[in-house]
Amino acid sequence: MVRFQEISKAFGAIRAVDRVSLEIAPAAITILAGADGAGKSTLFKMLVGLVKKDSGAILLNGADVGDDYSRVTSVCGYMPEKFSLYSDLSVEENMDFFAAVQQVPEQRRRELKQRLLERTGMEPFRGRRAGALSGGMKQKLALSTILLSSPQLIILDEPTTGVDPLSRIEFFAIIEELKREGRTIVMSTPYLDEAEKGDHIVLMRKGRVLRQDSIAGLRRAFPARMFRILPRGNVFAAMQGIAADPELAGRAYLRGKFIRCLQEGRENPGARIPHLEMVEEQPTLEDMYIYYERQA
Amino acid sequence: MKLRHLVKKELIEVVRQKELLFLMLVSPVIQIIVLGYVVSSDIRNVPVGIVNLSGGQAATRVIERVRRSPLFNVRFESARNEDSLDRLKKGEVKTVIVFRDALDRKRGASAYPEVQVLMDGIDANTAMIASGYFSGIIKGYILDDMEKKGRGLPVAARPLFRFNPQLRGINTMGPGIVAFLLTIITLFMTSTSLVREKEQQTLDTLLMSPLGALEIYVGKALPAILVGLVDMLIGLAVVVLWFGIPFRGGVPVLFLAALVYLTAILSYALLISVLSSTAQQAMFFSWFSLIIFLLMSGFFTPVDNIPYPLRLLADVNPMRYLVQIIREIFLKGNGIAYFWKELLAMGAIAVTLVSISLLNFKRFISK
Repeated sequence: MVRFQEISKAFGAIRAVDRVSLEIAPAAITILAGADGAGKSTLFKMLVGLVKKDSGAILLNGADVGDDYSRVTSVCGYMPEKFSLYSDLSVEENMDFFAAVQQVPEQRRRELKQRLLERTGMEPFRGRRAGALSGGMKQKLALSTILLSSPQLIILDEPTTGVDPLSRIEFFAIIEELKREGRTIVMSTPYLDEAEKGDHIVLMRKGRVLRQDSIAGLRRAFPARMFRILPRGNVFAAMQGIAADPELAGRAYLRGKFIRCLQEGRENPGARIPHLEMVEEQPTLEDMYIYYERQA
Repeated sequence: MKLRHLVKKELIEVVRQKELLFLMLVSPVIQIIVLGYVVSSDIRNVPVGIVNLSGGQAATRVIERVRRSPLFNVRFESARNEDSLDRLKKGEVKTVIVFRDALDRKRGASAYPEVQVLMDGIDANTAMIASGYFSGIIKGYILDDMEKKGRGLPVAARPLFRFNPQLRGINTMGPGIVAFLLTIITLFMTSTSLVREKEQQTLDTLLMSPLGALEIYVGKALPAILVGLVDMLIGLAVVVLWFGIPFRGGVPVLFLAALVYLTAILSYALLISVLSSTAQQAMFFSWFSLIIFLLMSGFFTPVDNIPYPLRLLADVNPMRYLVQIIREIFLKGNGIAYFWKELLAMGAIAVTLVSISLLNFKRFISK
């Protein structure tokens, strides 16, 4: 549905987005994952015209958008990273306001509003001020307001950051439902476990795309094996030993009481790390991100 | 109409913020009453010390007049001139009046005493006015005395004060306070409104909507105009009903002038909002601007007193014209025929500010 071609954007000396090319497939969930400063938000802002790109092209359904971002905004709903609704307005007033400025007809607005309030579980809170909602409910309200205009493309910038785990699950259930309706969803997240839920995952770092594919595709192409190691003795002392070992340095990281060690080739890291237990596991997206991030 | 929804949203936000609502509706009443009493240039109860070294009848009569005058509050009267200067230095009195017999070498002692008036010049304004009042008392006494002796002055000027016969300071200040109020409420409300949207990222959502730049701009200004006009009505009611300031002109013409003024001041406020990154910055800019507007408006001192290069700045200060127009409407009952030039100047400033502000707003949103 949307294609970014060699898109770049710099803020002064900082290259926020550096020659990024990626495709957002229709009726699928595309997730941009990466740490802060990866360029995810800037990419979204360039897509909706809030930030002007320095170079490259954005194609919507095969046609170059050029400088006419209304072509994108007329078919998309954009939810910024920060809660961007009016705290002094009630849930219902916020929905009414955004539907009105989006010129949603009165009758349709009423029907959609009711449906969305029920679907998101916000119905009992329709009269509550937005500022008094919990983090999860705020995000659901923000999502509801953008859905009022029935957008084909839904852009969600870190919608689950700062949201409790239960609300995150509920939020994803809604996103899955939207996908089943045939909507195109593109979202960003700093949580790599969450990114695994995407049909297409784009791993980003410092304005560049590290890798992009489906989770299965990423796993297939991943060149290293993952070992979960329970070290003998003090785990921090074991990490110090790893840091001093030129064969292992930069390939292991701590996760709880375990060391997760990425190993290329056939060699087994267990021979170099005194351990009580070692299990080879399927690499997670987090493992892959750390591997590619360190390679970059 | 999308604009209607934006205006409605802005007004709901104003009404929902109880503190803001209080500041907009109740604080004007408090401000006008407090300012009305405090800002008045009328001088009363100036603390005075009298040293009477004369002992003559004339000195006693003049002192009696000083005592009866509500302008002076005689703190001490002494027949010796020992510590009077010290009392002036300590601030116990603002004026020391010393009477002593004048010596005329040809005819011995004169009929009138020699009078020395020592003023505390730190508060120059009070000193000047008090000095003028005292000279008036002396002149009055001499004139009365000469008339009693059948030796009236051949020419005497008897000024007739029109529009403000009692020369009440509040009559001049009151209408100015209405102008000040109109400025402070709308300037602060508007300068922070857009920047607040920036801080909350709601501006991004607005910019993504089919609302055009002009609609957002007008949508921000209209509620402030409404609030400003309501505040002006409150201000009018207070200055007329509480202070008894006559309102001789027409309300429609006052609203017209206020509308032109608000267009100028709100454009300026929106410019501040566009240029500021945070609400704190916008507040700082607003305070800075308000003080300049006020000092160069003729509110406290006549604009003619401002020296030439700074006078140019006063000429582009819309508040200067509003203060003048509003005083003319209140006290003289003048219509547009009398102040069309000021109205036109204010309109020109408004058009310029709207253009600059809108251009900056458009530039800002297209970044």
